[in-house]
Amino acid sequence: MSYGYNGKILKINLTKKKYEIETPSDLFYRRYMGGRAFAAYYLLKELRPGVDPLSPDNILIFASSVLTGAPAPGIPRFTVAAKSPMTGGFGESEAGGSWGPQLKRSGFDAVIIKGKAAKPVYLYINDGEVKIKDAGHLWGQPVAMVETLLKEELNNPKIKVVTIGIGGEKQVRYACILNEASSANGRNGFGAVMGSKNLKAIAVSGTSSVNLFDKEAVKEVSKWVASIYRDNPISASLNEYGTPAAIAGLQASGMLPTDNFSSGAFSGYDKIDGDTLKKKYVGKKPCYACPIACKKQVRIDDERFSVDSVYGSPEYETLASFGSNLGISDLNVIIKANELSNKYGIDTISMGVTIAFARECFINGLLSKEDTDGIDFTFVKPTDLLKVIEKVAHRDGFGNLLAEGCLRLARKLGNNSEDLAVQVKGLELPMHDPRAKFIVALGYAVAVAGPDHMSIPHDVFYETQENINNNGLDSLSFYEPITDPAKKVKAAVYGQTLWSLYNVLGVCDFAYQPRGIISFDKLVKLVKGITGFNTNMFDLMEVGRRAINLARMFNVREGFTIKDDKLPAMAYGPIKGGRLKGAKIDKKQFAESLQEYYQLMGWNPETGVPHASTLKALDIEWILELINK
Amino acid sequence: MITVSVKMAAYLRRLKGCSVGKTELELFPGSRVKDVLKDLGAIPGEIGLIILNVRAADLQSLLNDGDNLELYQIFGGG
Repeated sequence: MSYGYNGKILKINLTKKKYEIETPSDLFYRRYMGGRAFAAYYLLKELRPGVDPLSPDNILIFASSVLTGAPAPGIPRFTVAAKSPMTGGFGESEAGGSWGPQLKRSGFDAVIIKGKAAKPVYLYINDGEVKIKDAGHLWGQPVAMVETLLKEELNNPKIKVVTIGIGGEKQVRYACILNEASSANGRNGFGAVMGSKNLKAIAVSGTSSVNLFDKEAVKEVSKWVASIYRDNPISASLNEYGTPAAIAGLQASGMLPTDNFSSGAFSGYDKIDGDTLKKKYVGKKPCYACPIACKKQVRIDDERFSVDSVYGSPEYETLASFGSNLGISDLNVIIKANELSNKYGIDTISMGVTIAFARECFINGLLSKEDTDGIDFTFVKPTDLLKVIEKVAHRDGFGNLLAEGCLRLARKLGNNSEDLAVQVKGLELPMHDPRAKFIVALGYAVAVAGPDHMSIPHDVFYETQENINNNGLDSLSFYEPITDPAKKVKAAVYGQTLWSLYNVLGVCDFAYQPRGIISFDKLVKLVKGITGFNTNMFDLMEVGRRAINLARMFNVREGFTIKDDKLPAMAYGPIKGGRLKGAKIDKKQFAESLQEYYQLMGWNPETGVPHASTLKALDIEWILELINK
Repeated sequence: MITVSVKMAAYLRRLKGCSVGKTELELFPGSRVKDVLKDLGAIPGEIGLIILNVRAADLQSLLNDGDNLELYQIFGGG
């Protein structure tokens, strides 16, 4: 009898229109647990190196974890993974909402999709039954409509649906996948991968509940969160404001990305901050079993356009990437831009940063109105942003070039414009300036799936004794504050390992320490209570470490080297405005820290490749045999 | 007694008297930032940035009459 997991992985071949069910051993679940680890395992074993990510040869994986679907807060997430169309390496993106738990209830722990359907299809997985169904009538439909239509067509109001929008159908390189119209597997272009397979959506439902080893232990954790989340300011702030509360503080700190990361302060910040946006909130969109409910719905009153509130409110990343980073302070336009992005299924970070790149090129004369279909890319008229998003989604005119991301666009433009492209490995940076956060900078350079602000806890958590004493980092062996960049490598390694564990388990970074309120003790209690595994934080950190190494070896096999672990040119030039004016990454310090990082990870500092002994200690030395075949 | 003005945003506005984002506090001379936080009812670990008269400060910073204090929530990703 297994607790927490079904013991079944669904493998579908869209070309052959066939499927099979794999039943991995209990040891597999004990060792890998879910999410990132499942994905890297199968991509290593079953994807041959060198494929085009947008070809039928790519493999698309949806992976829950041994925890998903249990009635406990902050564990609703699931991972989508494939070879990334953005980086060409290991790609992953997680989402909340309700799809992951429902996949579990449908009888499967993960879905692995190969090949390409001859015509648009969707998958319907219901209580162990699997159907590949025609999606011709769904192709072209906006994201929210797909769920509505499928509920009707399948006569099943309980289905949860992951879907792509027009962005994915047109294979916009950074198109995303959404469930419940606003929970996005946002980064790395999996919407494009789905589109390239002619796969519009996956609907899941089921009546089985997750088997719990110790119901009482699970209940205890849920009860504790329910009793405290409204009083603890970390969770209460998310409950009331969501992440937009960050704008004012980041502005004051001088680290609010402005004008394509040229400055850290934006004169219009108070028009787009948490207190201003909150006035437009009309509801909350909680993820499965989580009372914190950080996602919100908005309503606006604007004669220029209307916004469908089903698509949710912009969160911090979107506020900054369509706002300060584009010099736009028209909040309603940002809200509308968020709606369009979700309706068409496009990553707001990659799209925003690509547009910011084009804007800087336009301002510098590297692009003219002739190139941009007559659109003024200064966005002195903010509504022009909405025109651009329509063009990107439909790959129309200049939108077709923007749809490729800022690195590919820079390479087309030439003229050293690559220096203005704020990306690592071909994936755009999120809205956290590496010059202001050295740990994040290290994380950006080495993150297995490209620069990811949620792959590594940020510097601020280590900066004061108060913070350390209250966010659990003392129990990860950080006893005193760290502010000197030269001392931050340990924090980068341990923090990244912890959040890798969270990506394996589908744990929400907002709910668990250090960024959330639930302690590591409670996390261990939950894992034991759900699965019955005899585990603790040491073992769980090893699970996280194993997953990083699996993904790293995938990238090694695809030809990535230490030359790819770097920062964009912008990181070595100074922040031009705000409290941190003048701040920049010291090249020598960074290079030394990177070397130290490899050492601490048990990787060869000259090649960045994990030592055989590291893989052996993690029971994954089978990778070496695989690669050497 | 000394008077210090305190400005704050978002969730910190729930603190004693700060609903419009700004408040004035009467404190004993020799008060430090940590005393203000205790007075307001801030929870340890929730503050991410302290600015005193335009400069970055910390919990131990000494306050004087007429000082302007700004407090911001901790934010590390999202």
